Amino acid sequence: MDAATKAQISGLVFTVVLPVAAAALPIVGARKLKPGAAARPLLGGLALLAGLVTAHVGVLGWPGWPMGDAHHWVLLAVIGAAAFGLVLDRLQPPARPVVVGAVATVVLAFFTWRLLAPLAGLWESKGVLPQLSQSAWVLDAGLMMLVAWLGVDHAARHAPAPSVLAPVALAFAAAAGAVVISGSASVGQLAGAMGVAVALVGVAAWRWPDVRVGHGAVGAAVVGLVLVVSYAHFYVDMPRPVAGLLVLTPLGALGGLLGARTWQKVALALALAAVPAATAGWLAKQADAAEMEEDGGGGGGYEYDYSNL
Amino acid sequence: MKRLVSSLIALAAFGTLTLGTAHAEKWGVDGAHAYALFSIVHFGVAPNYGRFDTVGGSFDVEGGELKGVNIEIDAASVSTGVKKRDDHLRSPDFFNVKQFPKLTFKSTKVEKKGDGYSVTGDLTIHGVTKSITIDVAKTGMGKDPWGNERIGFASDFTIKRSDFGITFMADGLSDEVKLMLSAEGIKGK
Repeated sequence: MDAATKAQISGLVFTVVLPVAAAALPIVGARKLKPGAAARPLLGGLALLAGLVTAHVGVLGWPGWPMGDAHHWVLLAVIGAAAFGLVLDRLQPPARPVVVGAVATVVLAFFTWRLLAPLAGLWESKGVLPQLSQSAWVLDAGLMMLVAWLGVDHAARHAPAPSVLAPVALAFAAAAGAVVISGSASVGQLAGAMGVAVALVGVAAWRWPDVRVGHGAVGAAVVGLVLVVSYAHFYVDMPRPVAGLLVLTPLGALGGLLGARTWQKVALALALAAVPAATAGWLAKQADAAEMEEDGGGGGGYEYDYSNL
Repeated sequence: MKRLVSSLIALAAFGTLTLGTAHAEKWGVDGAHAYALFSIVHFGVAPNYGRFDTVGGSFDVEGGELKGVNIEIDAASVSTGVKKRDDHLRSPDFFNVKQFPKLTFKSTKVEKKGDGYSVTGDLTIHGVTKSITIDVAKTGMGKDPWGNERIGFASDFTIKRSDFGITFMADGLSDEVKLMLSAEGIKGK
């Protein structure tokens, strides 16, 4: 087998096969439980978490300690958010939105700080204005993340899981494309693999409605998405508007609050999410084309892509 | 009296040691005449070459002999002649220059070996530090037309990129990366 074929197969295994297998096992387990068993929502949530974690570990490896690459904080954030999700799932209004908001703020603030810590020196060396600009973006991003998390949490409480997971999966898919266009195949692959896991759990929840996915677990997927997108903005130079649109894409889940049947809810949620997702993809492509034109292409017309390093 | 003599001997020994290290002078790396090249095999077909444009640091030299090495390379200066590929090499797929802006080598032990040296030191790439031992050749020494005293060193060695956490495209790009370093140092710079 030649090296190119081996590279394609290993890419497929890490991006698709492993996350799907990891997410499928708890779903199979949930199907074996009696209807109404207390563990069912836990296993649905576990399927999502297993898929997301396996996607990260499969594509980018285990985090070491002390933490090497900042992207490993995404993995810890997803696990942390899922753990908080277990607690959140037991809360009811009026306490729930307040607690969700508080927890979301703390989780996002902590992990955004950890994710961006290695860049502090970079900003300090560039003067006060860029620092303020970056700080403003961190604040913007934090607020957008919070809105996305709260919005999806609200949808998850009132709409079926497939209509909530579908726009999240679409956001991951759009992020995968935009990150690759912006310059990192591995981070794009991570977003794609996470999207595959979310999509599988969404399809399973549609096919077998008794496989319930805890609302808190959906929040973990949103945290994974917003931190991958933030990482891509700060480390891969994904343009700011692209990142902003991708973070807001999961809010399409609110479309699931309309419509009568599940397929209608899923279709509405996807239609709503498709607008920012497609715009983000288009903007990423435009930015890349503009950069190439500005640089004159380089390499004497040599066409560079990730399959032709 | 005995105590005084032993104190004087200890002081003299300390003085000799201090003088010994004081003799090693810094020779600053001349960035315009310093090269950090690398080659990596692409899809098992052929070696592909690249370089880092910004190389700095210094040599510790005593009596024309190498005593220490401190090399610092700007990771963002990676260049292969294809802009898009250079951007990709700067990304988290490879050097992740935003998080790890420098590649460094700091010697911890230098021993004379034939006409050259065996240098053990800490090589840091992608935020990972490994102790390696490399052969370094002294390539020349003399004055330039402007009166600067120059000394040159060069070294070729191979590392495994996976040792430094750079594992992207493991099937497409060789794990072994050959590094070719050459630099001129200027006395007192």
